[in-house]
Amino acid sequence: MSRLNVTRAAFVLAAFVLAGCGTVPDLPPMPERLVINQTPALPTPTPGSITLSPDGFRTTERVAVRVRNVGCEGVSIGSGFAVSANRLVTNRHVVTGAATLQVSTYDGQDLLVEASGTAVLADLAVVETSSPLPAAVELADEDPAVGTEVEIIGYPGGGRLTSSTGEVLSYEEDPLNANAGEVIVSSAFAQPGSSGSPMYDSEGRVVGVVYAAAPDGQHSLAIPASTLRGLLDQTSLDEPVPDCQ
Amino acid sequence: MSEPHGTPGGEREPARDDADRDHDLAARADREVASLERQIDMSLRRADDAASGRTVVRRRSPALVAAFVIVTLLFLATAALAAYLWRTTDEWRAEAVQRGELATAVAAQRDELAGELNQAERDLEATDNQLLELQDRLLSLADERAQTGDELELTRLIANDVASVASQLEGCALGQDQLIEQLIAVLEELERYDPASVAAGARQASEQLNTACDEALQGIEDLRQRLGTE
Repeated sequence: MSRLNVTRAAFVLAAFVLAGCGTVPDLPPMPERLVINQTPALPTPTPGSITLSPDGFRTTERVAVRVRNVGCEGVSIGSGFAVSANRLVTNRHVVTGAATLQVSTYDGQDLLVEASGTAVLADLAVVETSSPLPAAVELADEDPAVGTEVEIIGYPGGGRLTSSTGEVLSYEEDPLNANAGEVIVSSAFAQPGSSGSPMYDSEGRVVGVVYAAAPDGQHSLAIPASTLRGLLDQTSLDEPVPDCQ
Repeated sequence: MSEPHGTPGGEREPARDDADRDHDLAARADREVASLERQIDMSLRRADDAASGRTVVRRRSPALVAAFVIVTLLFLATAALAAYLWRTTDEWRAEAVQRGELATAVAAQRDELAGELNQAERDLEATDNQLLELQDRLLSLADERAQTGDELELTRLIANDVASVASQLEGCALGQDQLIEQLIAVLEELERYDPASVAAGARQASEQLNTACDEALQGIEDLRQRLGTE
């Protein structure tokens, strides 16, 4: 074989080798060392308005209070809910005519009532307590839209703490003429004793205050949260609750 | 040298043949001498080079050099690749063994944790059920307490009403006693009183007494109705 032939053969071999590099897959990498004893991160609870207390009750249940109106002629029962450490909201007609007001919590604790005042426009009242309330609830920024799922937690019939669910059916002029403006009509169950119950949305925010069952007995009526917010924004509740004296 | 053969041409022919042979032999000898001289000269040069330490640089073809370089580079690259693959294989083999052992350990740990998880879930479920029962019990107790409070307040109101009715009845009874005593006193000294004025006074006192007693009776009736409905 001549020198020229040897050179040609070497170049051809090199060309084959280099061309082959283009078709050969990537070289296998070195293995990465395993990290052993990994400790999985525990999930952190997401902040929300619906939280559980150590006794397992939801905040929406813990804020619900039972209001006993001891008047001159008899005893009537209503519901209410805490909006701050020492303030609760209920209906005006729940506290009207009371010689004394007695408030108890979901777990049966009695709270001392200090004073109460009522709103001028709607069937709403604010009661101040000397004893701290178990929890406070958040008000919704906007009134619920038609179709919103709602939950009412209160003491229907003066019985035990009860929850009923439904949805907002419509907004109508108050059929009982007890409130100014439109009120919420919902399919959630209510009956005497439910008056003053909070109406919650799915996030546990108050969207209304139940004040009556609809005349058909199938629906409940509630004062929208926007009206309640107007009441709470008042610096003072000048109008005293009428008593039975 | 062989004996020349006779030719049919004449006697001078063998002499010329000898001369040619001599000439050929001389030429061959000259060539051999020249070759030997070249070999001797080359040997002497090599000896001189060896003695002086010089290396003999042979001139090679550039193509041959390039081919040699390429083949060398290919060889080195192949060797490096083989070494890398050898080491990679070893590393992966060791890693595979380690991961296999780890997988076995993790699987065992997983089985253990799965057992613990199942137990924890059962415990949690039991605790949830207990919590629900306790919550239900708590609400029932709170309700019973509230109902008791309602009844207590109602009883207190009724007691107040009963006391009020009793007071009215007491007033009625006292009034009747006083009226009777006064009438007895008047009858005992009837001659000192005007019968007409006595009768008028007695009717007025009786009407007032009846009013008070009627209120007391109405209170009793109201109380009876209230107790019947509440």
